[in-house]
Amino acid sequence: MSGNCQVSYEGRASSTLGWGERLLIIKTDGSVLVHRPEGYEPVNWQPAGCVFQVEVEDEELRIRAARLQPREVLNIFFNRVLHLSTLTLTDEGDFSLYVSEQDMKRAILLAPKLVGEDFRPLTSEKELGAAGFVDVVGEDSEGRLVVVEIKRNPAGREAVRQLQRYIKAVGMRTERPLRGIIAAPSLTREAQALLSREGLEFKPVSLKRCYEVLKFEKTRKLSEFFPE
Amino acid sequence: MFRLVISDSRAWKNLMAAISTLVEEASFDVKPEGLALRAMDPSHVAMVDFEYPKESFQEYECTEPSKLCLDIGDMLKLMRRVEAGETLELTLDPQTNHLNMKLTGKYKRRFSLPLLQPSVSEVPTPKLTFDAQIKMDADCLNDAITDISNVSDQVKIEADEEKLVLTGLSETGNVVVEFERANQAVLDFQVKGEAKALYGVSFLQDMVKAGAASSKVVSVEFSTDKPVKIDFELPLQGKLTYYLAPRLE
Repeated sequence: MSGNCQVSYEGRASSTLGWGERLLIIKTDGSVLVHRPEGYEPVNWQPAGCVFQVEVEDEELRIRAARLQPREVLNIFFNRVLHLSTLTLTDEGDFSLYVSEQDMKRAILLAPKLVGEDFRPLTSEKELGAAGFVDVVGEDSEGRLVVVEIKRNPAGREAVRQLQRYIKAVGMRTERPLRGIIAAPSLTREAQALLSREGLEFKPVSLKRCYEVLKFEKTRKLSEFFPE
Repeated sequence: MFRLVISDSRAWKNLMAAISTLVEEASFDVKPEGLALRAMDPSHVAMVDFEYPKESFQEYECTEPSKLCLDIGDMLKLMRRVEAGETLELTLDPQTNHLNMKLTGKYKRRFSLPLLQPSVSEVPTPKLTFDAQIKMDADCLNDAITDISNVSDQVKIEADEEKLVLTGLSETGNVVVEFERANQAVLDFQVKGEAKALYGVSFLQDMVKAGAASSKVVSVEFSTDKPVKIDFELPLQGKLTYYLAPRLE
């Protein structure tokens, strides 16, 4: 529905929004969104599971959406309703996102926590001679070099062997202790056995998380400022 | 043929540490005029531009230009314990393709580092004009950024004709550090109108901390929503300059 309303929120913090024309969306699962005329984010919202109280008082339509854990109350009071529609929507569609291995690598470089809490990327697309190009090399808090092989599909034994080859090639050029990690949405059963035998590691990295990191990344690249 | 001698090994170690904040493998351009390096971090958000002319070295010999690539982390590990007054000699051994290091102090120590395949890509510098150019005490800037890093992972840097303001925004409360143009820590202050931009604290902190170990004077230059250029003054036309891309609001 849309109309002239005022909004107040009390819970983990508190906020008030004075009178103005906005869109209110209440979904069947009890989630609530208040959208101002501009911007893509709601100005106030509640997640699913709200309990609603609606009444008319002092010529205002008063809607209260409340949750308990944590206790949060969102009050939306309308003094003028421009439109109201109720819809029963059915959505069984699959949301599939296309995230390539390059995308996953960019996401990992932007959000290294995807690989590990203390992971710090150092180089990417590192050439290792005959072994090829390794996706990402970084270090951990103990100064060990960490070699990361990224796969967008479930990683199989071939990915583990690839990682082994990279570790061997990197090992020839450095004295530092090494760790190898496969970053992929999942690992096949056969690969799991080979991985643990070789002392290598697996970090589940979901395509969805990578998509979110890339979509919401706020830092620009220096190359945007290079001369043409 | 390439050989150089550095009289202050600790200063060299600090410069190498400054470069290692962004890259693990350093590809140095070695020329008869001196050393240079320009590199971006893997996510291409930050850049370091380093130059050390031959006059900065106690001795410097280079007969022909070449590229020397080595693992800075390994070099720093070998230099972990460096004392005041120790000299460092670096020589290229073309037969073994290693860089030989000799530290001379109370006694002599020798190490050698394997040379790596240098990266071929050339890194240009960003094309920028700066509305705000402020030269100040590097330690003061380092302290300010450290204060901000305690509360926030991003810092808003604003300048107008009267002052430079750094703000760390957090849910619990903001940290605001102000440097007026008349402040003792400010050595030169040129601001046209206003400038304001947002940067990630983590990179900034690494860069400023490393640079402050090598220099007492830093220039901060930026324009609204543009990359910041942080230049640490080195003696004898040496250069240690960082660029950091801004964040979107």
